[in-house]
Amino acid sequence: MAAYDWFFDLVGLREWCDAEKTQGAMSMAELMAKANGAAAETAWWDVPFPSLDTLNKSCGAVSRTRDFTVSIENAFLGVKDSLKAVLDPLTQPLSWMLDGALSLFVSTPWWLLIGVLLMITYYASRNVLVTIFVAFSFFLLAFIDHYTYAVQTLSIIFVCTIISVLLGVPIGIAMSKSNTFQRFTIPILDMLQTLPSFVYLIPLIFLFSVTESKLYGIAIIMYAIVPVVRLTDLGIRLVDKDVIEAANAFGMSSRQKLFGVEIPLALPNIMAGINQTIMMALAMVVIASLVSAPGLGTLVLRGIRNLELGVGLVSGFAIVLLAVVLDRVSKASLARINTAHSH
Amino acid sequence: MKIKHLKKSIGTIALLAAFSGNSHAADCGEVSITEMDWDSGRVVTAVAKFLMEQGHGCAVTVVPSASVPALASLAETGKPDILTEIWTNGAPAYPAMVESGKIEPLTEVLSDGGVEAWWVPTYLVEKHPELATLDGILANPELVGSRFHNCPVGWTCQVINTNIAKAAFGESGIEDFIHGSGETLAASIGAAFESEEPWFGYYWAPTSILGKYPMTMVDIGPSVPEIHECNSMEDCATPKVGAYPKSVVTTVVSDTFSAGNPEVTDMMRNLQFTNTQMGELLAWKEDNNASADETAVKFFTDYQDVWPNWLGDDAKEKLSALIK
Amino acid sequence: MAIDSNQQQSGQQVKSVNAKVVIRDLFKIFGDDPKMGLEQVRNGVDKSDLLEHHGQVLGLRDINVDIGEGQITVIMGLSGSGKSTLIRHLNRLIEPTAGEILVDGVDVMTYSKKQLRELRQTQMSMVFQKFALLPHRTVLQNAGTAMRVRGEDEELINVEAYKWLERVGLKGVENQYPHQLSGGMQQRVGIARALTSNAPIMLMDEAFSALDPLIRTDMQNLLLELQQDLHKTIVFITHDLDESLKIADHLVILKDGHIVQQGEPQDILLNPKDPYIEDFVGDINRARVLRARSIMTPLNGSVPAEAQGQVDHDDTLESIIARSGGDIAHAYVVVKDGVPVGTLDMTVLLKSLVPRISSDNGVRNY
Repeated sequence: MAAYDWFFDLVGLREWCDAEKTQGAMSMAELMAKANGAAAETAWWDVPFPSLDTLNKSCGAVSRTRDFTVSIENAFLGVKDSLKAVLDPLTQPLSWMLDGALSLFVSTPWWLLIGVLLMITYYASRNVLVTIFVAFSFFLLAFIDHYTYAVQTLSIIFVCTIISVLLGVPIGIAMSKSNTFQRFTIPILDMLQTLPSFVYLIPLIFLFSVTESKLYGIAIIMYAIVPVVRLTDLGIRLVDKDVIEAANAFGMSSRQKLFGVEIPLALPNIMAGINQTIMMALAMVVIASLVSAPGLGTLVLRGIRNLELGVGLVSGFAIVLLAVVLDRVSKASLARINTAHSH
Repeated sequence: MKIKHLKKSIGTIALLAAFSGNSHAADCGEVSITEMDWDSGRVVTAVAKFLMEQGHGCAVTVVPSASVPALASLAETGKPDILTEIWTNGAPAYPAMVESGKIEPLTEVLSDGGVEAWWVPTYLVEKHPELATLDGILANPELVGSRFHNCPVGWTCQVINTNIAKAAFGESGIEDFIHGSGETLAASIGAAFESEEPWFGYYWAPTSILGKYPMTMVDIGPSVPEIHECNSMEDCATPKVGAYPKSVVTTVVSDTFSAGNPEVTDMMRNLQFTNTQMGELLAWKEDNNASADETAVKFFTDYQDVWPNWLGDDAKEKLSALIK
Repeated sequence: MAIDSNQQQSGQQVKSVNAKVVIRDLFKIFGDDPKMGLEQVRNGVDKSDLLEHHGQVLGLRDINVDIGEGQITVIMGLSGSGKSTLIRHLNRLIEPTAGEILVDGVDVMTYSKKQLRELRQTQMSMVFQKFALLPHRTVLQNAGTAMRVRGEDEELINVEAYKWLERVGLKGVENQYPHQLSGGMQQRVGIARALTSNAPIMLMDEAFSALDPLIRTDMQNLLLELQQDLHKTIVFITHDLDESLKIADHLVILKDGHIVQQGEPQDILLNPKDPYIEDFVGDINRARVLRARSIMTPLNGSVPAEAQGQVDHDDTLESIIARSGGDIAHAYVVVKDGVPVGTLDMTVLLKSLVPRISSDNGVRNY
């Protein structure tokens, strides 16, 4: 009675089909049809697409889509151990850095930590207004007992941004030098930005323990690294071709060109990339907390789950405040590096 | 051939029209029902939906939800009409809402009640039988990996577990690891089983996880209501060790709905599963990678002695084709 | 290697110049199959045909030029003539499809990347039409670019850069940034940069084309003045005929990628080989450009007595007309370094003021 019986009978595969009876479960539609006493007759315009599941109803030998997804799962479980042997030591430094930064930030007394952060802010941005704003923000957060959470989130963002930049800028430079590499990398970047993190995080739990900080570190870095890679590539490609020609004409080596001309002239774009990387890292805070990252994200989750609207809103705004602080500070300090262009 | 085909088509169309017409089954109308995002919840909703549509001619809307938000929504807005599988242990607002009359618990949809407990994998207990008790674990923390896998922050069980941990773990060095989400908790179990590694933590039944992975309950002593009540509060001054009581899992309807749809309400009142039945269904679902709908179909085909008794005469007649 | 490379037709004494850079049989095809394009071109396919039927662009065809040491060689042509392409072959910013480029006798096509870099660092410098200064560096740092690339001592670099900036008339702006200067000043920095490198060969790609006319004249004079002292081997690209005639020691005229005529500017003016050239030079103020030495009758024998006076061999006809007061009957003795070398009749002068008739299918259609 299935839709494609006629096809398999026609092609003469009926014997082969019936030999392997991996019949799927009855579908709800079939049950409903049975309940109504009507034959499961389909009008010609209602013929279902010849998908794996539909074909399986006509021919037991055709595997169903779920068999396909299960085989992917089994494939992953098969390579899991070898993957673990390779990836675990590679990503261990990430765990150390995250754990180290977390304990450092949390154990430092508040007056010392805020003091140091304000000094860094002023030194980097040389802007009194920005420094005052940062001080005000921290005092506000501390006043509403969000200090520890904010500082935890800050330390995570700090580590993840540094690693994103350290990895991302060289990748961006490599992309700008080779069209093939760029063509190969851009789909990967697209995927990193759009693939739901849980899709690759849950399998990662099978590789590393969920208690390892590198799990959420990887989640954040894989999302946040994309802007700095894209904008470094763009920035270097956009450097004035005439200036590059002059550099070549005077005999600069690739290294001299890269550090003396290309990177300095690409700096505005690279800086925009770093700024966006920080923002993306903050955007991942809540998802990171879904895989056990400490910080403001846990407060947001608590608010959501317990319907404590106030908790969710306040911690959400705390994340926004952190974002604004980091945005202003990074923009001010990076603009200072850009002396030649800011006249 | 053509005329026969035509007659059959007209017949089918007429039948379908008869069943889909609201005007005919005037007693039902539109119904909204929650679908909780855990497996047993999905199965319950699928079963209920089918019976309402095919037995009572309702137009059913499924609302994905969770215990706490569903209760809040019903209390404030009167919708959704039917809340399935409310785990009352995990909803602190529940008793107050029942008392004030805002919500009406209909029945215990899991008739044996939900089981919440602490578990270790059976392969671990086979190697080290002492791990079946809390004292045994406390004496040999390294054997369970020196870590307790707790519920995510925001779940009531997290508060309870942390309080028990505060009372019990002491110097043993067992870390109270609070997961970020239910998914990572479940994944940690799966990961442990794949590599036969130690695991020790909280979970609940009936679920596909406990259906799929053989686990042994850890004996943490008897269940004492006062202890459990204090443990449920974050600021419990004297947390003590006490097991979870049976979790009452109810179906809840709004009073407007029960007044306006007595037959459907009766059916929902009768709709119950024992833990054995649900466990079997979930195990089958896991083995066959089936959807909730397919599991419901399995239920209807295999448990013929159960569900017809839930139905009133009208509904039974309409579904007579399925009842063998 | 003293090659007698620049033949004159006006009886001028041939100065034998060392050919610092020799370009031989140079071809350049742009496209995805230059080898195929090259074959076609060698078989006689022309530029438009090559593009239409084979999808390749003909950049340069059969270029043979000797660049004299210590001279200014001007390569001139309209847009699309290939002049910018040609100059970039000298330091291999563009790679030829076929041909040789010999610098001091060595074919630079054989150089490794490292040797090529050394060539660019020490032997050649370049000045660009759009200045191409490093925007993130000060004027002083820009001027010292070449020495810095070579890795020389920072103190030394600054001294040299400062010196050359002063020489081109840019004292006082050392610590400013390029965008703060006018176009003319930026190009002076470009020239100072090229000079600071101390390279014997200077490539100038339409260096003055982006400047306004008055500034351009100043820069041309500056260049000639510097050349008097420095005697660099300069290759100069331009589309401006006046400019070419003013500064060229040797002029190469390109059209559609091949050389139409090359030689001493005066000679090209007087003996255009091609209707294209005739049209090109048709508008020139011949009186101002032509010099006595180009149209004089060489002395054979004694000095004629009826001369109205002496003119220098380098005097422009314009100045001689002024001298004569418009009297066609005058004649003059042409003197070079005090020595009489020829005679000049005003009638001859008058005739030489008129260009040969422009061709029917030439550039101009009056």
